[in-house]
Amino acid sequence: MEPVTQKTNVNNALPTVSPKQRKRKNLYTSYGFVGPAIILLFVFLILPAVLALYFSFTNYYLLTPENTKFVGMENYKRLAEDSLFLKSLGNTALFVVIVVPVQTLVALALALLVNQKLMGIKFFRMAFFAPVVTSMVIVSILWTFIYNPDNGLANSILNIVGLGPFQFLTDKDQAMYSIIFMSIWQGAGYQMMIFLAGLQEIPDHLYEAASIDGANAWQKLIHITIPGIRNILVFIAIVTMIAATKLFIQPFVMTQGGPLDSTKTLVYMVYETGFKFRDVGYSSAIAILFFLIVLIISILQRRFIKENTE
Amino acid sequence: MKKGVLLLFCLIFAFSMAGCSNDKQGASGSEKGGEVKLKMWAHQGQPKEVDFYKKRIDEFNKEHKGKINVKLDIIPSGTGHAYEDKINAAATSNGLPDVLDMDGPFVGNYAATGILSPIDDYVEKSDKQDFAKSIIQQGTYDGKLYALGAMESSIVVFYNKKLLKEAGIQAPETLDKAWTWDQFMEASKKLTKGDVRGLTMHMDLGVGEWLTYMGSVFVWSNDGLLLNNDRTKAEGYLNGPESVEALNYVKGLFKSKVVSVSNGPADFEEGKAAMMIGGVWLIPGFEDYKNLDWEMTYFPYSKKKVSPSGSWAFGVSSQSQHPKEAAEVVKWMSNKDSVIEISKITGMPPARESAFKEIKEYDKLPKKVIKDQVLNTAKARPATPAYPVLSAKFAEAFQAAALGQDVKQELDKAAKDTDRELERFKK
Repeated sequence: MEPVTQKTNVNNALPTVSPKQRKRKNLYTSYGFVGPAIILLFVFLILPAVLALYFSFTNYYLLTPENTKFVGMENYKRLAEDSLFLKSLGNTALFVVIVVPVQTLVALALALLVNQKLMGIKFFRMAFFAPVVTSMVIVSILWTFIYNPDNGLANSILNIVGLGPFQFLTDKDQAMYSIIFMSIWQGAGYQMMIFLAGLQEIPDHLYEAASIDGANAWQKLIHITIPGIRNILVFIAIVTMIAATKLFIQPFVMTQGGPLDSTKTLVYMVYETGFKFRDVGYSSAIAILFFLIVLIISILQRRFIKENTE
Repeated sequence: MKKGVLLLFCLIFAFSMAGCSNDKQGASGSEKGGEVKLKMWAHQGQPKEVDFYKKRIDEFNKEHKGKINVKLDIIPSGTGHAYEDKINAAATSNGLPDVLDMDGPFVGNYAATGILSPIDDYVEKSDKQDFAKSIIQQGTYDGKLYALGAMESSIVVFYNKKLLKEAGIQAPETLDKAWTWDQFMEASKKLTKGDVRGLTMHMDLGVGEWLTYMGSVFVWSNDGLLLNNDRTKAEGYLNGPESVEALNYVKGLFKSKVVSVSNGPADFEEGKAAMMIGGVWLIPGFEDYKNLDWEMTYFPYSKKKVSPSGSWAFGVSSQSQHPKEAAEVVKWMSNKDSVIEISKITGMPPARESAFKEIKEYDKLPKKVIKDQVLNTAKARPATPAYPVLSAKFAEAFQAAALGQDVKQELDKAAKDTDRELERFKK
């Protein structure tokens, strides 16, 4: 330690350290900063991913790892014939296809609403954001009560306007839509906050100029607001898409994948196969395929967006 | 200096990793001053049950002071499979406790995968004979005994006395007069009036062990089986004509609207359902409903009188360094005193015949129903390593039946998945 402090003495620090030395020192510093993150990423992300790839070619049973054998493509062959896998894939796709656009639009609408300078607007911002900071498990349990077909809040409210009663989570055709609705309610607040930050970046003088030119509210939205938050919109679409494909907690808590597998998602199937049925090999194969699907969608999405920007 | 920082990071990281492995929860039995230290896991059941486990282990430690000391951890079990997930994770990382508590039907899977050690050598034959046959059946795999429990369980038909009286229905009071399926269906239909349904079956519990525990009784009663007698095959049994007919009967109950898939958790207690197919552990909870005047009768039957069985049991993990001492704990938790006490606390039937003799309330109605079932008609779920798959798939088929799906098709799927799983364990 001592010599180093002497060398970095303020007055003659530069002359005594050669450029080569400085470069090396910089290298150490950067490794020092990046090191912990790299080690953690390796142990908790890269290593498990590589292991999952390996396990997907074996018959690894959770409780008897010593009997693990290499089985080649068997797990993938089984996947191709597994109707449950296709069903889970379809359920996940349904969720993504509805949630991504609807949640983004709802969040944008909320952001526009709470972006006004009104008394007590902070209360609304907080209210819309509150579900986001509440644990998804708790939200799911609460909504299970709300969705109770006999004495739940949802049917009571719908009853007032003359609708229902609905079966919600106990009906195979309604369960997924019930989860979708609740997920949007829970998640939109997060995107709203990001949109809000973006909206406040848009300079006021643009709106003022537009007003002088006689633009109405709709024209301002289309020609000023939307282009102003374009990048944020793209970011949110991608992030929401990736989060939506990972749907797990809601079906885990609310329906356990039922009724009749109507809310079974890919991640739920990975969990069920790997832990409940202890079939790590097959579960890993599902996980790998899931990874590939998300990867392909992400690449396509990126490409599509890039083309659009140019 | 910067090297120092790097080194520091490495050290911190190394220590934190070491910290993880030092903190291992199980890594069984150590010896200190001649006293064997054991670890034990129990699932978090009803609060009174948990208190009982804690108290009983305290007493064990007092009695064996200087020889054995047990540290009990209560593990939350949640709605899903949290407790099983924990055991699975511990088994793979060598972190199992010496003694563990498990749900009866899982014994087969744990025994087949080498998580449990057999305890035959430590349990005397005469002692074994005192247990209800179904309890020995659930604890035995491949001819060896792996687990013993203090509690039995059963499902009965609870009924609302007032509502039955109004409908002019007399429920059977002895086992030989138990309702047949047809009589049961007829009574349920008569009792379904206006807002009140004839029956609730706790479909609100979701697709879990409950549906298999209750549903398998319908299959057995119709002379069907979940697996063949060697427990090596599901095809032709799980989806055999008897099983299909049984689930079609269940489907019929739902179709005629005497019971609903969206029943609330307390429909029977609140008088919204006249009868309930429910576990005997619900009895203590009835005290909270002052207006409820209840009674119980036997599980209805088709060709054979059958009732379900099975409950949490204790076993010795194969990772234990002190299986003999661990077996002492298992025996202590299932000895006559434990059995009588836990039965009084939880309302669950005792696992021993001698205990039934000591608890007088089982000699007269309503609890006589439970005793008759446990000692005469109880049947354990098959002890098979494929149980996790079998149970989940059967439960799904049962739910599908309740939702009006094609029973044969659902059971075919279940049989196919179960057979694939059984294949894995064939040597």
